[in-house]
Amino acid sequence: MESVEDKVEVIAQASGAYRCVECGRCVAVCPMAEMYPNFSIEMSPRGFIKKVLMTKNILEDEHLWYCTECNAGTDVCPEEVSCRDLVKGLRGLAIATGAAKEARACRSCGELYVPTPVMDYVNERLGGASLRYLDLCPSCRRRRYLLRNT
Amino acid sequence: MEPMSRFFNMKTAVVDLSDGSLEVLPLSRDLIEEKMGGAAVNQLLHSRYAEAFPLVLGTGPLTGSLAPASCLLVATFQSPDDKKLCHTPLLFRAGPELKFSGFDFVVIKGACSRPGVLCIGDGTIQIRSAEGLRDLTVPKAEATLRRRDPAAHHFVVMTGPAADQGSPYSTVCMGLGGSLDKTGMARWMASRNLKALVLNGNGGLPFGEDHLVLRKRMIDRLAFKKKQQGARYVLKRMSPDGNGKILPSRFFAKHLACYGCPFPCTSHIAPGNSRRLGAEDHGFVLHDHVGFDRLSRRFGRDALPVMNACVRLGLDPAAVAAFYPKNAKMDDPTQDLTSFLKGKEMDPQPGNGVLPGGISKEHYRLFGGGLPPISVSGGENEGAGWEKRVAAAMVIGICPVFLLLFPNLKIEEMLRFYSPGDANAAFSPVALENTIESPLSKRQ
Amino acid sequence: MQKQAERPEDHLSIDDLRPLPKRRRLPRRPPVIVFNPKKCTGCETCEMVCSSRNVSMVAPASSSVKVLRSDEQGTNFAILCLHCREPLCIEACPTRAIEKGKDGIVRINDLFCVECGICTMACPESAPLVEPTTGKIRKCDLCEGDPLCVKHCPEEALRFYRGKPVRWIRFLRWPVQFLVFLFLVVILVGTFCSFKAGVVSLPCPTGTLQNIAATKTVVVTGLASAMVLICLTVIFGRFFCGWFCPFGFFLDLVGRITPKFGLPAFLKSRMIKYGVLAGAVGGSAGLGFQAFCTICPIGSICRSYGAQGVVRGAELAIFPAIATLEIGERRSWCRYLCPVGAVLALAAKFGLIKIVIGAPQCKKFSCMQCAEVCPMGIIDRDALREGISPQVPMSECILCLRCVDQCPYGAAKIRFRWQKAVPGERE
Repeated sequence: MESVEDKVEVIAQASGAYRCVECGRCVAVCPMAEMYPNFSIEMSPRGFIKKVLMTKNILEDEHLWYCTECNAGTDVCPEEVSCRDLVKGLRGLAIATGAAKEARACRSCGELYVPTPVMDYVNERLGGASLRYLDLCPSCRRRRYLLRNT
Repeated sequence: MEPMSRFFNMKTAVVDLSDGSLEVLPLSRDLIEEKMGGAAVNQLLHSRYAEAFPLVLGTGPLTGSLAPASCLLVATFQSPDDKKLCHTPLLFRAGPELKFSGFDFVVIKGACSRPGVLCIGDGTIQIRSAEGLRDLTVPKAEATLRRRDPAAHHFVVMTGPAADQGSPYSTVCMGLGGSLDKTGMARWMASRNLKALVLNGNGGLPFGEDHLVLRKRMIDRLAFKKKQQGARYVLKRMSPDGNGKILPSRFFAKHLACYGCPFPCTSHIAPGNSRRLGAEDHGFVLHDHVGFDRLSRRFGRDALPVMNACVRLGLDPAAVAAFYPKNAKMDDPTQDLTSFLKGKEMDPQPGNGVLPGGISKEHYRLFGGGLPPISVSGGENEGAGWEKRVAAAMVIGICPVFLLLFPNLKIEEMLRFYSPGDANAAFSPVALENTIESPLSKRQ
Repeated sequence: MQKQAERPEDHLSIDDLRPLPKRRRLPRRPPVIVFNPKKCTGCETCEMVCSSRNVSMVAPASSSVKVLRSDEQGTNFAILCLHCREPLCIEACPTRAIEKGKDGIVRINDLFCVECGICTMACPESAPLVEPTTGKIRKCDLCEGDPLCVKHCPEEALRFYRGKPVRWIRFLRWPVQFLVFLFLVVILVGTFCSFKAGVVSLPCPTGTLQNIAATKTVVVTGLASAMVLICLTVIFGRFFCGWFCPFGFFLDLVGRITPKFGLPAFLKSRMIKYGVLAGAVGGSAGLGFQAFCTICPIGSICRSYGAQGVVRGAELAIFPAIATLEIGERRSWCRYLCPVGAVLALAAKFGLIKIVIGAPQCKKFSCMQCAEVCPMGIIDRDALREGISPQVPMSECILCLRCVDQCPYGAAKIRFRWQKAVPGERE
């Protein structure tokens, strides 16, 4: 049986995290810098990759849940490290092992469609109004719009 | 760019259900030049793997393109009933979803050890478990399947509870519309423990520069009546003598069209319009015109709830019309039909419908036994006109119902979407004439 | 590891590089594609031709419009960007990649888009579509003014529309308001309060109530005359407030020029006017004369122009003082305080007419023009954002018909109470 550590290792290898040269291009394009006032080294793609490689218990780290999975970092990375694959894989593992689950579930279909910090950002940008449609994943939102308009 | 890759991915997949192995073969250009695609190529692939009695899914060169009604998926198999080769058309979005998932033709052989779902999408084919789907009505089973992957836009072709229970009257179902399959594709799938096909295509096809203009002009010229009539139009055309049993238009709530089709020939029958359907039901989609026609001849106005039950149980309405005990009334279709599911072996002759003069019953069954027998006038032999038109549609990948409803539309005009521009003999209408002979030629 | 800000204070943020645009004047007739679900057959032609422009291939998965089907209801719906007047995606985008041009078209700038998908999260109908193969965000850009989907839809379910050019109801309402004002204030010496012309009198219903309370007698002709307005209100709603009240006309004029600062929360209850009415009637009963009529601004404005010309300084003070409430919200007197309005509101509760917002061509959250122009503020923006047709409370509606007039798509209508005009209308 693979231990959780081994599984993390597999995900890190698959995403190419070991190739990271810490050039910082990913940080330059990362939208998280504009979204979170507490944007830190640990939250940035470069910093997070380093943390994955250097520390244990990465699944319990709160910085796993800030990323939007846009993959802009991969587009500019000289070593083609896929930050999205890393984050996505680790998130899936965290949910599967029950280590953490900082993501919102759709009110209608139950799918985990957005991480909580990202949704908090959206809520804050839209004037803090409690917009009920934000509780739905995009597919359910569209379907509900269909049901309400036909 | 190779002219051929405008129409095809140039990939054929061979799937073995017993071990889930997948073999992707390149599609030979020569083959396409000779056979064009659709039912003709299906037939060839079927003969290549004949000892396994496979199911071959195939698309035509125009499937998915900007040509009108480019939605066709041809399923070729040997019918379990009479052991003859059949080509069943699957409409709605089946053809484009297969082609856009990266495969033009899929050969399915072997049998699953446990009930499985074949998922075709994004260049891969996988077999997933069909656990929890047995004996669920078609809409519930489809909803369960969709919940397993909510973000994707699958197209599902599945068998219903009728096939699960081994009924000889079962048919495949696409949503709430049933299908045009009356030659036993559902029974083939049930015998291989295959519950459903899930198609999910995210790719695309190139198109010719003039295709947009061609399409618009062609549709404008067809100039059908502005007020949509949906399935009612097809039902009327099927019985030109006006047998008075046609449902009034108030029952047809909404008209639906298949992928790329400018003329909706299916309709949604809403429960509100027919109180007999029952409060919980949401109505059904009238796609199987022949089945509904036969049902209304047998049951009159009661055909509506019977059709509703058939669609949900995966039963062939034409078979119900033909084989339900004579003079027996149906009080609660869902209950009564459930017991009817365990029927005896069916006489392979199709129901008691009369085909308009000329359409040979053999060719009618060759193409699924469910296409509307609308006579295509012109020429001494009416039947030959129907057969040729349907065969042409099945080869080039255009919905045969569309071509039957618009007999004035020449096949050459459709081929303008196919020809790469230069007068290459391989793509001429003459070549099509030769090609469509192959499905029409007698087999076995 | 120490927590260290990756960005010291003197670095630039997105607000410095690409600030959010200030609220600019929108084009008067902004372009949008109007979708009619009744005609849609779900053929996906729009997806095919849209993708032909996006990726030069027929690839419905890469189009900017998505057709949803409901097999159970048999309905189809096309989801596409509605180019909102106040787009939420622009607010939410972290890299400010989305802009609304001068032509009214909302575009995603590929140079700045990182494909994070936050615009899809923010949009009420999730109109920006994520292309499954590449992750790119596809959003309608109206084909720069000549949409392909509109051209190719075989059922004409998609229509390119710029909104109706002439809004004529206000050309009727302002003159009517002005003439009534002239009539009641200038020409007639008598007032709305006790308009008499021989035997016929048309007294204010609140005044009549106060009269009855004060004098403890009922004059049948007086009551009957007051009932005329009440009956008309039961049938037609509070049209008096919107078209005939001279003080209302004055408030509309003042409201056009004053800025709006909002009101404190305790003042914003619509029940206060019923309290004022109760106080007026109770006060009259106690004091023995029509208490409220002395300070009523409607009466004040009517009486301000007497036979002697503009006189009676005390009268002149009342209505302007109350009109200053316009700096709070539009028609705040009418919404929260007017006792005449209270009586009419009670009558209008049983009315035969209703305003219906949200016919199929309503653009809901993307437009909200009706909510913008409604002087009584009774059109629920939250409902519009959720895609629901808001229920308009007819006891508050003054039937000015600004919503019906200004709706660019003819989606706001005036109907009889029993007519069903919008899908999914809340009972």
